[in-house]
Amino acid sequence: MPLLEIENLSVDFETRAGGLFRAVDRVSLKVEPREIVSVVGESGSGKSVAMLAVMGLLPKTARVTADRLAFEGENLLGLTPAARRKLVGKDIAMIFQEPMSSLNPCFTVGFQIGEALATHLGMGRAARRARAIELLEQVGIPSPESRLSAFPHQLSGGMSQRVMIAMAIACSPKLLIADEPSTALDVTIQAQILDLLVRLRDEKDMALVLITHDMGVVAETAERVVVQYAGRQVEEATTVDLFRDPHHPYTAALLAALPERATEKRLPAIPGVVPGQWDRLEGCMFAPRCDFATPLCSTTRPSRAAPELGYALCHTPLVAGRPTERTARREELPA
Amino acid sequence: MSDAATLPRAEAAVTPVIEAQDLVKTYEVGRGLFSPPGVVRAVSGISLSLAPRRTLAVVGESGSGKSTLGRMLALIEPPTGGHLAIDGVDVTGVDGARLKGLRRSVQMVFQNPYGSLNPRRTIRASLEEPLLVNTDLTPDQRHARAVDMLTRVGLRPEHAERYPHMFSGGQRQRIAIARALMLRPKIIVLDEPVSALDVSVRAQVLNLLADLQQEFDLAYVFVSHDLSVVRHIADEVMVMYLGGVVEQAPKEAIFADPRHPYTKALLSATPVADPGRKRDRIVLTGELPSPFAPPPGCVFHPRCPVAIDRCRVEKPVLAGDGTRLTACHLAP
Repeated sequence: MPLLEIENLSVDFETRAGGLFRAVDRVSLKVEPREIVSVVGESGSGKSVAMLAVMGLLPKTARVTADRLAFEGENLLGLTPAARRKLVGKDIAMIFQEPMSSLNPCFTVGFQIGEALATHLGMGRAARRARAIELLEQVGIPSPESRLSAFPHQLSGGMSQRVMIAMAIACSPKLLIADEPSTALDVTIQAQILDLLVRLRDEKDMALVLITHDMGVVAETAERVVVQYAGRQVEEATTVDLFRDPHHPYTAALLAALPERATEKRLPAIPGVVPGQWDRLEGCMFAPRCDFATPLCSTTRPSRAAPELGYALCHTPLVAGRPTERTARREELPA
Repeated sequence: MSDAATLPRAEAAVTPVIEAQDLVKTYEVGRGLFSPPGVVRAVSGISLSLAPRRTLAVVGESGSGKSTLGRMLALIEPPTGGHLAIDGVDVTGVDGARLKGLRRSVQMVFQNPYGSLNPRRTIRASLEEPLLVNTDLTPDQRHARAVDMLTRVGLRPEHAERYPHMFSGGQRQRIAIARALMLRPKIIVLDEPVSALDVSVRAQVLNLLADLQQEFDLAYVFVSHDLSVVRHIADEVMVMYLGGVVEQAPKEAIFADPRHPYTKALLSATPVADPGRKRDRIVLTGELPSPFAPPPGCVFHPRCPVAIDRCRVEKPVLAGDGTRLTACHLAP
């Protein structure tokens, strides 16, 4: 049984103009136990919002709808808020991009780690202290006893992220969602944090969802990748397949635009910008920037391609860089 | 110490636009009411020279002093010691009026395009301001130049009357680059110009920078922590650690054969978008030491995987065979 099942998850936000803005548009994802899945996309692709919806951390202006949103077979959307709070922070935990601003500056590190232990496991003071020391040791913080009484401002960025990870794994979660865990850190520290997350996955048998925009981090860490663009999921494949033969034109263009994959002095840049709130399109979101766009692309929303084509959301998915004609399953197209 | 100016260049006959000798920047930092102020050496003993149409990349982690070096070269911060010549004129110790003239030849582009443009002024006003301060052009001439520059960086003339919030991050960075070019400088200091941008937009801005360099004969000082971008854009690379240079060499040499253990670690820690690549990461333990109390000997030795006893007591000097410089006792 998959650990996390998401089917056609959509998130709409009420806007001040009175309309609805669809930040996440029918995204599906399955995470198996012990798996490392990466959700990759640029800003505005809805990758963070989708995961915040799983955590139930979105503000009241958000409307979350899904055909299925289940954790270990249990429907998350049917739970009462109290029942959901019992799950979040215990079996599903999350760490965020800015470690400095996600810790509360007014409390010590030891107190903040202890909070989850007291709430979810009902541990006493002495047990909490012992467990907090053990956790800080696991995430590689030197002299953990003395660090318990440190305040967040006394820690560097890398140390703060380690504390965040210690808090997240305090109750031995089955799923850890990491939202850009290393983006704000220096490369040598980033390597340490990514190695730590992979090591914890191996030791603690937890699954890891890694949200990132960095294709290098994806290539070195993830086993499976989901690519999002403007709220939609455009491709899903194993990491090796995605980098070897991307099937969606966006994925292909994104990989080609990376400086380290460039073969010439001029980078093959993607023209234009990501569609914003006011210029979302009827058909394919990527059509205005796509090299292979046809008139059909700008009017009709594409359907998903076969699994061997990376479930590409494209009328003519690429094979070896060339578009293929696909017998579109017309009956599945939205009216 | 070898002279950085002896580094060979493709067009060795061209006179350099930046020449720096032993640049030092220290800051006094108050450490409480009753303690004497501490002195931080943000940058110590840096020498470099840069010719037109060349790009020097300055690489390092936060706290390495790379931005301070960039700000000194852009004449924003006066150096505490050493000599700096911009376009053949020594700028150390010149008075304010002379300095103002010299500033026309060096301009800077900052990391965050959301913070570097005034949200209350139109793009046109932001672009015209350098001309208003530094030239005697008429309003019509200033406007013509602003519109001309906007089209050169890939925006449209009608964008001139808009405000910064109406643009995306990539477009704002284009505007910031246009503003830096208004006075036709010879040198542009780019402080992490693409690290706040999305991947698909980053390539556009890097291409634009390459085009403008050819068009205006610009010399770039490219401050960055992103080695994959540096590998693409740089001609020469300077690797900094805790205020000093640990390695300085042509780009090909740095990436093909890094000699300093810190450079090696930095290269191996950078994630590469190739899942089939064999991983032999050198993961450094620990973090950058406090600049108030730099370690004795080589400042890198507490984190260095190959440190020997000599490294703990004796500070290595930046030395080399003329093509490349390394500050390490164990360097070949």
